[in-house]
Amino acid sequence: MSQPEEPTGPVNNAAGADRTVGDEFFVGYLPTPAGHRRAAVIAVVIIGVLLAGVAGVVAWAQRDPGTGTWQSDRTSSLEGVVVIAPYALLRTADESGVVVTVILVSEGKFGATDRLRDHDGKTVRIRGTMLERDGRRMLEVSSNADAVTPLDWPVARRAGLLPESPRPLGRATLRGEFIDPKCYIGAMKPGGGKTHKACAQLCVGGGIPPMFVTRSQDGSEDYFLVIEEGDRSAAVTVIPYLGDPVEVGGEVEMRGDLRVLRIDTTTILRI
Amino acid sequence: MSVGYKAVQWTHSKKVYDVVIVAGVLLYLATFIIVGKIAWRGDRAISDEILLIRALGTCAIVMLHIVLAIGPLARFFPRLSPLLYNRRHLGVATFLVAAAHGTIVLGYYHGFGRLNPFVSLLTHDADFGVASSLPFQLFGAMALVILFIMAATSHDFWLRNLSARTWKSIHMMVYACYVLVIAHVMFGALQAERSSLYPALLAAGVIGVTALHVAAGLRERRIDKQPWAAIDQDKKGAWIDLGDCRDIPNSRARTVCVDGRPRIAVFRNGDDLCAVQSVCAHQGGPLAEGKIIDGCITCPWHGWQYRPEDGRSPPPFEERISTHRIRSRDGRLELNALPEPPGTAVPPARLPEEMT
Ligand code: HEM
Ligand code: FES
Repeated sequence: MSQPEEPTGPVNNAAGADRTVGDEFFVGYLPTPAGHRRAAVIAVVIIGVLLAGVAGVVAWAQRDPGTGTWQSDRTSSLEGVVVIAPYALLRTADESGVVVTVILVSEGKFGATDRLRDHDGKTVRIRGTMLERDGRRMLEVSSNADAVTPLDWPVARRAGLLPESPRPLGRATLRGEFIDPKCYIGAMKPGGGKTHKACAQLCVGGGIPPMFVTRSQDGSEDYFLVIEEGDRSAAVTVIPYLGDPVEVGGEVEMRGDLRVLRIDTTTILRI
Repeated sequence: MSVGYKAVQWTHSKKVYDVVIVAGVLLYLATFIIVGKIAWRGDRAISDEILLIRALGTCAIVMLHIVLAIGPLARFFPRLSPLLYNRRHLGVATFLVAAAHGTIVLGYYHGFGRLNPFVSLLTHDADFGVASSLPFQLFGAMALVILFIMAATSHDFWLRNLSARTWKSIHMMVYACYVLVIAHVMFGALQAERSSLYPALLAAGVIGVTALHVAAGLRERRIDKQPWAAIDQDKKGAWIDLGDCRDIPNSRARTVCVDGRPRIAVFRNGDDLCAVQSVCAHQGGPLAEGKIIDGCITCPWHGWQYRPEDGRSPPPFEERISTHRIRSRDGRLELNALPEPPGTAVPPARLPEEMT
């Protein structure tokens, strides 16, 4: 049995008489005394102003989500040579004929390596949606069965797109963050940092190639595709460190326009 | 006679209260989203989902601060008691807003992958030894579970079936929840965001809530520490000299606390004095801060009522609280510190001539 949240019997009738000025008393089921009402209105107004103020200031101070874009509502079609090294990449020529390496991923938080393995070194047309940030491009390959079409190009046309031999840039120790590039390049904004850690672990665990990003003083960023000794996938090594600020040592090399970091797995250090 | 449970016994105050809660939440979310869209736009626009996650998460933590501040504030400013009256609806609303935050996170950050979103949330890789790698989302999830338990048991049905004591300890978990939420933000968003405004705001919130609680606690201590001298001892316990009782306004009470035992409310009812435990049978509200209305002691929190002469609620209600004996002797008023069994009728004591 519960008490009178609604007044019962005579409770309500005499209550008003009991209420002398200066001795007001609030009971939820009785009319609110004027003094309490005024205090409550003032409190609610103050809280309202504080609410709007905090919301505005907190929303204004959010960190820069970066310039990544995802043309998720427009299908793009790219032609070029698939390279599995060790993740699926597409070497294609841009409008002015310069070779660009596009990272290939699948829909959701999955890589496209397994799906494209049979096309390694072959020419194809791939349909999907483009993501791009700071000139780094990625294609989310459509899940449609006909998204990947083998092309029968003359040898000469294909030759220009075949992988070049890597150009070593030497050993380096870098400070930055291991990222899941799909989100970072444009699928989620922002798509990096501690808040993104769990999501990045799903992405890299699902086959999206891990990358490393360094930030210089002026805010510009450099991206590295991350591999391990023997050109193996670095996913398993990198997963615990995703999103954390780290220092890592390894060999840097250029593969065409793609900067690659072959990490020394014993040198990863949280900072 | 029995009075059945209703989902909510709606009163005008409660309706106004809930409308204000909904309006406040909408005001917060709308401001956050509009400002967020203006602050970062074009190529630098924040994802809609993330903006919503952040609007809801920060709204929930602000609401939690309000929930925690109302109690001590109403102690200092009794006129704010209308804000306290329906605090549990504010608690339930806080849970709902936090649950929306967690649900979108679950779908967005933990969905679309190779794992069930719940598995991803519970098992994502973390290193408990390093602050930068602590699983802040688990702290959030634990806080949400506590909010859920409190929201689910907030109804008087549970209060009654769990006993006031169990219920109270469940609801003391709000402090554990608060600590978890602070950890959730410290080891999450604060490690990713760059503006120093966030740590400053969070620190202000923690310091504010702590200061209010400490101040309210000190005030209670001061009341409890007043020395009430035992002047006589009989087999039923110590008799305490109540001193001059003229300063107790009519229909109001004075708090008496003997040796750290539960507080006693000494009420003045015209020229009569009577004493009951100062702990409401509902949620332990401070009856000594209540008032006698229509001849019944009325709790300041939710208005439960007790007859001063025997500590029983007026029919059809059946609650009982302990009474204390008071006697008037040699022009002095004396209170017995030992409670009578709940619902025991005790004769009121008259104010001595010289005190009227
Ligand atoms: C299952 C439960 C929860 C999960 C999975 C969760 C997850 C998250 C995630 C992933 C973020 C980072 C969002 C971002 O900036 O990208 C976040 C932030 C935040 N959360 Fe939670 N959270 C949960 C419960 C809670 C609860 C109960 C509260 C407060 C009552 C809360 C308050 C906040 C606040 C204030 C932030 C910082 C602002 C922001 O970045 O959104 N969260 N949470
Ligand atoms: S505590 Fe709720 S009415 Fe007393």
